[in-house]
Formats: sequence, C-alpha cells, structure tokens
Amino acid sequence: MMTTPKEKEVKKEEKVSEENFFFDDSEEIILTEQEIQDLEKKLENREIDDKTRSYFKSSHQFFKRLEENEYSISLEEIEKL
Amino acid sequence: MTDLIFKELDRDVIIETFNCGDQAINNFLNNLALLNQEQKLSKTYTFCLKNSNTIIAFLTLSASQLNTGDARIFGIDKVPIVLLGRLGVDNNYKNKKLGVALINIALEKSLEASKIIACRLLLVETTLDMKSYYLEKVNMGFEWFRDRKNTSILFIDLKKYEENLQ
Repeated sequence: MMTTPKEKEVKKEEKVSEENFFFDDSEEIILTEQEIQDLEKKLENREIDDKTRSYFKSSHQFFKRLEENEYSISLEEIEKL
Repeated sequence: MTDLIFKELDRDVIIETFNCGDQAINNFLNNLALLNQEQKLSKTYTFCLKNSNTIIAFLTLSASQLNTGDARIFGIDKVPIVLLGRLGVDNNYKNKKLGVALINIALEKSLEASKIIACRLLLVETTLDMKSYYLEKVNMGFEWFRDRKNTSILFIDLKKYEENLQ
C-alpha cells in the first residue's frame, strides 16, 4: 500500500478516533526471536472461548445475509450487531 | 430507515464529504484509495448511502507479510498476512456498529483470499487506548502481537476463524 510522506506526517499529529484504524506500513515488520516463539505458540493453540466462537459465527452469518441481500442493508440492521 | 449498499470503491462513489476525524485516513481516501486500487496495491470496500452513493465508512485491505529474519516459523521465513490498512467511519455515523460490520467483512474477505493464495493472519493497528478494548472487552478473536510507540498491532488467526464457523 502506498503511503505518502505527508500522510505519515499528518498521522503523527492526529489522534485516531475509536472506530478508525490506521496501519503504519512505512516499515517492514521483522519479528524478534521472542515474537516468533510467542506467535508460534498462539498459532498452534486451537482453543477458543465460547464468546469468540459465537462472534466468529455471527460475523460469518452477517456476511452471508449481506450477500443474500445483494449487498444492501439498513443502518438499523447494522446497529443490532 | 437508512438504506446502505456495500460495494467496492469506484469513481461513482461520492467521497468528498467524508470525514472520520482522522486527517490521515481522510487524505488516504481522497488521494490514494482509488489510485492504489487501480494499481492493484490495495482494495477498498465501502458502505454508501443507497440513495446518493455517498460513502459513510470504508476499509482497505492489502497483502503483506511478517518477516522472521534469520529464523523460521513453521519452516518458512515469511508469514503471509492480510493487512487491514485503513478503516474509517464518518463522524456522523459513529457508534452505529459500522466499524464492527467492516471488521466482519474484513474477516470474510481475508478468509476468501486465504483459500486462493494462503494467508494466515488479519493484522490491524490500533491505539494503545483501544488495545485493552479489543483484547479484553470484546470477544472478536483479537490477539496481541506488538506495541509500537503509541499504538498496538493485533491480529486475528484466520485458520481459527475458519475452524469455528460451523
């Protein structure tokens, strides 16, 4: 993804509001040895709590409904998520 | 009732009125999102008002990788990932779960991509303020990866997501 120098500069000055995400991709991510070990453990762990499983299922169902409705949806329906 | 349409960003989408409160994200939408998309560098998906085609929220996805340096993880030295590079919700439509809806969509799009070219993680970067919210208060499957100066990088394991849909 291209990021302009101006964009990076503006980013530093602004506080990200709660619903926004901005990934600073100006530097390549190189994992440390500790991060590799931690990541490997996390990826090998297949356990998941019931609330997260429930979220995953509802996320999938939300997208299926969106597809079935030809990508039309009301704001009110989204608010029920 | 406010009817919305979910669609890829195109030249017909009205973007000029969009303001998510973050100038860097606004600038990206106004100056780079379509250009990057046309160059196949990133893909931007939007929620627009159906009656006017005005954008009210968007997210941008791209392919990336985590480099393991000299070491290896699962026998490889680069972990393929999907980067949720930008997500913005217009100030007039905040707190209406549009952000959650877009993360749901990011998961599904990433899963779809993983079935074709393989990618293991969906990566996001959030503020340190919001780190505990995503890790502790909501159960969306986020796991911690790394803190930066004022932000935190989190991920969702796409394999875990796929295994728990049924």
